[in-house]
Amino acid sequence: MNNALKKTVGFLLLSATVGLVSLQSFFYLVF
Amino acid sequence: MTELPSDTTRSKARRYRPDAAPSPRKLSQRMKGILLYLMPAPLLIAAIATLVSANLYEALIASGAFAAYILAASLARHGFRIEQEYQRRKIARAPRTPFKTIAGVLTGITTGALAWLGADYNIIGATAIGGAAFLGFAFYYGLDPRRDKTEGITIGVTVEEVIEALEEAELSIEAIDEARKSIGNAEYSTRLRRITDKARQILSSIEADPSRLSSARKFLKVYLDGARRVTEGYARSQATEQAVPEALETDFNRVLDSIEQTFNEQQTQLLENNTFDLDVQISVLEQQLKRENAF
Repeated sequence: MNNALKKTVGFLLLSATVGLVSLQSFFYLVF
Repeated sequence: MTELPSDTTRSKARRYRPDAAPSPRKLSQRMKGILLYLMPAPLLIAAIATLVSANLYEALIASGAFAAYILAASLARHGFRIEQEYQRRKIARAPRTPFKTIAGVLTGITTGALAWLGADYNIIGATAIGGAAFLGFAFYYGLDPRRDKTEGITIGVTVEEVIEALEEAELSIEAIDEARKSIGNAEYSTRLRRITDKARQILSSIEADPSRLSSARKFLKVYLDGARRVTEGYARSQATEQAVPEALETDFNRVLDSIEQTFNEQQTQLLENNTFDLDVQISVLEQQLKRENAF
């Protein structure tokens, strides 16, 4: 895979998973 | 007659100001991994909110996950620094502890566990999202380099020898830098900085042509080590005694002079591959270091 594409996919995957899970947990745990 | 557009008269050249602003590459290197600290921010708020409302189980999950993410981010940043050093060098050992990989795995496990315990995912969904987080980390930041960099090694010295000698020398330089920080004298500080800069240049020239190691070995062992002992000794005596005796000041000054001179000569002679004169110089300095054993 081309390096720039790999980085973009990686960035999207990482921020989507970690960001989503921590936001979701925030709502589940607090409310 | 046509008038020149006004901006053609202005030069686009900028004054060179090395300390004015960090270069963009350096800035991006320093910012690398900040995302890992920012993403778990909601968990910190959740931890505080659940703690305030006395929901201990929820508070434990939120704070545990937050702590694990921050630990992973710190490990990753440490890994980035090591990798940057590895990239910079021509000869380098692969990182012994794979900090980036450990950080990636920890991020993945934390994400999976948090999805399961904190966001009510089922175990399969949680595993998948944890795996995806690890994959994202590995794609975006990459994993640790695993191969030693050995380009340019010629007959006469082994890779191990070169790497070991360079690592030892780097440790001595770092120790001199440390001691320099505790010496509150601007003049000595500048001179010591000059010495460590020069020493680093010598190390780079060995990296560029490892066959130079055999002629520089004595320098690295005796001189750099001597410089370190003397500097550390001076810093120690400065820390313990209220006023450093004048004799010690003079001795230190003299030793710094010879160190600086020999470092300069070492570099020139390494480049000229002329080792005989330097051997003589080094034995002279060895004697001097023995004499100035007062440090």
